[in-house]
Amino acid sequence: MHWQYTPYIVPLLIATLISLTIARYTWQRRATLEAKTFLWLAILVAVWTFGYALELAGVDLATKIFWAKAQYLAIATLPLVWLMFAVQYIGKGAWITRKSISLLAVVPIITIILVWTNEAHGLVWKQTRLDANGPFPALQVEYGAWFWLYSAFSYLLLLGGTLVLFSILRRSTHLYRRQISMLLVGGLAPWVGNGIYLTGLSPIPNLDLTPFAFTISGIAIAYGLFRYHFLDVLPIARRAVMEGMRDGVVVLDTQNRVVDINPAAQRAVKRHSSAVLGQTIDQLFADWPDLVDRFRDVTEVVTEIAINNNHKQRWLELTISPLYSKRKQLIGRLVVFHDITKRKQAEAVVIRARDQALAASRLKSEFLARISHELRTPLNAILGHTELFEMGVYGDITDKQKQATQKIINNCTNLTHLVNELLDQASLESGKLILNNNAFTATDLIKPIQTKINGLAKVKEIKLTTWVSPDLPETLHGDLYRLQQVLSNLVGNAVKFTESGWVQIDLTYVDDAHWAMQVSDTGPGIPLDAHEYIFDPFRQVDGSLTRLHGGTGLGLSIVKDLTTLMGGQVVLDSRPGQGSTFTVILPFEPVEQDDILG
Amino acid sequence: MTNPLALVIEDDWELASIFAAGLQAAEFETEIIQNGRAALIRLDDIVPTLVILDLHLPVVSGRDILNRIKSDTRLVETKVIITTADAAAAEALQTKADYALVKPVRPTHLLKLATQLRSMTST
Repeated sequence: MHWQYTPYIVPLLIATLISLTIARYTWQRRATLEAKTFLWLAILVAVWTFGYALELAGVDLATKIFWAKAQYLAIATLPLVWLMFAVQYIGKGAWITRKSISLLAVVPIITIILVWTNEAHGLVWKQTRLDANGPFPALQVEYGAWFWLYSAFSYLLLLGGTLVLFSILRRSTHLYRRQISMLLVGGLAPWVGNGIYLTGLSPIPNLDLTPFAFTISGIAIAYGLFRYHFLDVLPIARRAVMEGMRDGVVVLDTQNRVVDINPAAQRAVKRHSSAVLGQTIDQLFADWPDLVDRFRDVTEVVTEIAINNNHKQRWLELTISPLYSKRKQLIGRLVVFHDITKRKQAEAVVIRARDQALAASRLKSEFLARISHELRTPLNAILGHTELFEMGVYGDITDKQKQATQKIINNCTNLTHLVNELLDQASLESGKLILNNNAFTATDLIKPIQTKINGLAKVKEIKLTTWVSPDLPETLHGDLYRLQQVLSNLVGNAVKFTESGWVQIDLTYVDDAHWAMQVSDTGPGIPLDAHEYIFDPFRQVDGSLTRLHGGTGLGLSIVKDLTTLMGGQVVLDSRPGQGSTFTVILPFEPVEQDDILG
Repeated sequence: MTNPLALVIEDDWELASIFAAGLQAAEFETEIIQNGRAALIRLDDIVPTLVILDLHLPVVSGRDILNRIKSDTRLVETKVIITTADAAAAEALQTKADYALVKPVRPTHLLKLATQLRSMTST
């Protein structure tokens, strides 16, 4: 073989290089079927362009004919591989079966055989000769019958592949439209080149532009490949998600025309996509004009809407998101709706159950309030008569009788206390407790507590001290009686649970808007896990303490509920063995009760 | 010299009689009235030293009776002890009445208080 340099081989070698680069890039991403096919496509193009380069570089006729024949390995099979790639790319790979491939491969295989045996029959090339008239010695051929048959067949396959890609182009989103466009440029270029060559319109005589066109193909496809990653994220996968989604998806342009609609949305409006594409939202959602008006100019919203569908109410979660171009210009809106009727129905059941539970709780509170109230009347009588008895109003009594009446009185007093706490708890729960706000001083608040608790503290030899912060205003505002109740419960508890040491009451200034009542003790402390439930009604730290110390288990619950009602909060700081500090933080300005009750 | 008069205005007879018994032990004359309107009419004729007044009364409320007593110049010397189960109400009315007792009222407390109030009027 003899070779000579001609500048026309340069673009061919570049095209070969591009194709090989693409092949290498694709090789690394050959996970999908269409990637494998595309790899073949790139290799075949490389073979063709390289073969043609060698054909051009060859000096004698034999060399040129050999390389022309070699090119046919690619030329004959390329249209089929192109079609396969297109079909796989749109996600219809299942169409390609062993049978259909075998059938379609008949013509290419015969062509290759006939090319290599052309000397015997001349079915591909009737005549071959060296034409030295052009800018380079060229192989000139006169085509035989099979060439035309093969060409017609090849063009059909190429056309098929191109049409297949066109079909998806119509349905694709912006991004993929660009990508497929690049692919089509790549696919159409060899046609144009080949057409120019066959019709004799080539500007350079004897030069087949087809492989040059593949240079353009290579660049276009490589651009699509690197720029739009078309083998990485397939538009078809995206399409499949859209189609398979149970949520309705509608894409609108800035004129509120339907650009895309998925099957779920089509079912919702009972229209086929071909009928609604290009329509305005007024036409698409003709059944729900109110909704269209409400969201006509809304670019971003997530909301729940009720619609009437065949006289049945349905609930939809509607999401509208703006779509922006790369230059941040609004190009349309994405409307997604999701049927939440079932969730709404479940919610309604839960709400009904909650209302019933609340009603039951209210009834319980009312019942409790009534019972407590009714219990007090006979208690008053028992206590009154017993005291009169003890006072000797009903005649002289013995010492033993006096002791017994004292016990009755003590028990009655405890019972009264219990009934009062139950009544408070019930009123708090049913929201019937009314606060009576007035001005008072720190002494007004603390003095009665000291008087009340001092006795017990002395008996237990516990030091009860009080401290009023000097920066606390002289006059405070609030419901004095209820504040005393809160403080008395806390101090009472502290003294009750502390076996030795001290109990300290502090009234402090917290900030411009708040003051606090703080009760600290050197008692047993409260385990951390009990902090959560210690304020619940009828709960104490453990059963043994309840038995040891008695009480209703309502004290702290009332403290917390009263404090909340007053617009304050209770903070507990306590560890086992380190005593407890309860801090009741209250607003200087008593809140309006309506604000708390909602 | 007759004992000073204590008027017990209380709809619960049982309680009223307990109060009366306690007051009698403190050497008061006692009179019991069980409804508000009757109490208002009776107050036109008598000047009690002490009124034990229940806040929750049928027909005319204890508050109205309290207002009436406090606005009547004839009754300027009359001391009023209100009794109520509602501790918050007792607290609220404490300044207006001479004293407030939260039910259950202990006869010993009532007796102590009544004695104290009587000594205040007699001096």
